Amino acid sequence: MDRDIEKHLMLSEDQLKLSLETTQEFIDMWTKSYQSTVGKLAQVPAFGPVREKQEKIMKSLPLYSKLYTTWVDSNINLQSVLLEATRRTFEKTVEHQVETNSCTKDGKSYIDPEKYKEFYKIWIDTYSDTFKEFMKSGHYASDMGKFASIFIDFQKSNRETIEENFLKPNNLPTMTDVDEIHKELYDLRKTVKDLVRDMKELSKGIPNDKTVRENDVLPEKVEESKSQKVEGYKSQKVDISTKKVESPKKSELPNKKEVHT
Amino acid sequence: MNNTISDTMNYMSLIDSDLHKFVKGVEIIMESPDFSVGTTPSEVIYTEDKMKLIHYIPTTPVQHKVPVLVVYALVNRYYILDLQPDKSVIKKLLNEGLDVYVIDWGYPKGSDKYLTLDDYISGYINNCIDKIREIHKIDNVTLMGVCQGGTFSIIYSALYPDKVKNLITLVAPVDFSTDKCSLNVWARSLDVDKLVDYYGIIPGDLLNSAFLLLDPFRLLIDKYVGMFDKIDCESDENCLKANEENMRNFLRMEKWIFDSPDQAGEAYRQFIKDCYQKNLLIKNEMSIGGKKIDLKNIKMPLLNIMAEFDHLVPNEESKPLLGAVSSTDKEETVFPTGHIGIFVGSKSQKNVCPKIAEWLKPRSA
Repeated sequence: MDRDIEKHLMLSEDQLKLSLETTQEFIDMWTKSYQSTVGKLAQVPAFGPVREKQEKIMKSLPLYSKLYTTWVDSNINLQSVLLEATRRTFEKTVEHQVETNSCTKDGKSYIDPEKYKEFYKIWIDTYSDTFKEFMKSGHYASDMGKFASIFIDFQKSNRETIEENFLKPNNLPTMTDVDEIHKELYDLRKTVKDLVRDMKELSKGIPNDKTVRENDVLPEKVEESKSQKVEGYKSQKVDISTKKVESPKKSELPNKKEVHT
Repeated sequence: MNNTISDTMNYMSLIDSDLHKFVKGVEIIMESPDFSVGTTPSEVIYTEDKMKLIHYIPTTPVQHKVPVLVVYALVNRYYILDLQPDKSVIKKLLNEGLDVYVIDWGYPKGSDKYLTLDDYISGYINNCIDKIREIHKIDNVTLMGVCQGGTFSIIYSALYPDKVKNLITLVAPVDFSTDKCSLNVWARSLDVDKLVDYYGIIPGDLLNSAFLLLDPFRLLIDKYVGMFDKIDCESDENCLKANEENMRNFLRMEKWIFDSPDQAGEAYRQFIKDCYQKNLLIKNEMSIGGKKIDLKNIKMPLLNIMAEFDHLVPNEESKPLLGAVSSTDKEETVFPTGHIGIFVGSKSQKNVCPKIAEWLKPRSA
């Protein structure tokens, strides 16, 4: 085994560990000083005619710092896994060299050019297994869950800033406006589908599935159920007409046949 | 010294050979080979919003009486069952004399964000089944659910048992309590309310990133290395054809993997919460549209198929199904393949499809 290589790798491992610890220390220090300076400033109540806008912008600052520190935290964890994967790869490579006698007589290792694919296999297998092990851990899941949650808060704040400062002043629709339409459309589509189904079933002279389920109608009460359904249909129709709904589109009706391929 | 020179020469020749493979692969891609997917002839017989019910044109003069409706997952697309013309689950089932229908969920957009699991199951699936019953003038159909579509099929069969003659589930999760798959672990730490409230429609690319993170080194590096490694450098006709076919199949799979529709937010919210986080389905505590799902209502013949090396739906997620239902005619089979291999691998063609057909034929009269 090549002692020089081993020594060199051990040294870089220690250096990397040290560098990760130093990064963590730096981030902790940065967070503390941020919270006691800019962080406090960001929470100072705003005043004047643009106070609301100013407050919103200031609120996004702590979010940004939170996002940054969480990202660094998860990154440090990932770096540690990378380090562990490298260590395992080295171990396995040495084992493999010993097993396959890929050492010279003076004990120095060399990589047989014919076997670089074997090395690639060891590398990909070890990295893959080590990362899979880490990804499956609750630690990674909570890291990712935390990061995703903060990232969404940050994005949400960005969206609000864009809506407040660009869309609204230019009389452009915001996400809330579009959502209202989506909800209305969804409800209307649902109502139209219910009505189409009711009409279809009424024309067949059979009670609606939904009515039977909801009212738990016994077979001998089917006739009674039918009349209830007709009343229900009428009242729904009145509701719809007040909302000025158009007839269902052709595409929403069944029996459409078109050649695909 | 001599040793070093010979080593260097060896390296050079190996690198040259790999470079040659890479160049050959790129040459094939540059010629834009036709890698169409889902080529089995079909017709759309029913549409509702973005959903389409596809009927495959039968290939045998006579079909079995009970048609099969295939329900695929909302993530990724149904054409994995018909990815390669020579390795198509659909084609194989057609050749066995089965009449096959598939639901294409389409690509949800903003206006679909409020769709719930109830809309998908009691709405779309139920309407498709009614349509097929109407066409064939029969009371019930065979329901074949794949992956998340399998979970939907299980729920449907529990809610509308009279409309399902046979139930086949392929790599379908039902008990989400396992930690064997990272997806289960991640889903439990996910603030799904925050995600759905912000996005409304969950981006398919976001979900795809999660799938890639399951094994990043294999899925982002090794897969591509393997693809070029398969290229053979001989220049005879057969070799060229094989190279082209390999590259076509690779591109087909790439297309499918990254063809991830966005997800309707409300349906996604309920699926993650009730299944992955609370594991309500197997406990008979889940409801959709106000209707309680009792797996004991499943009394029809059931075939549960699993893949031994499934990294997305480990066997532990599917196995409890048999014990949870009331069916007396029930069977489970595990094939030595992976989650995707069960549809496109050569074992799928040799073993999985014939198994389905062999099980189904006597029950489709």
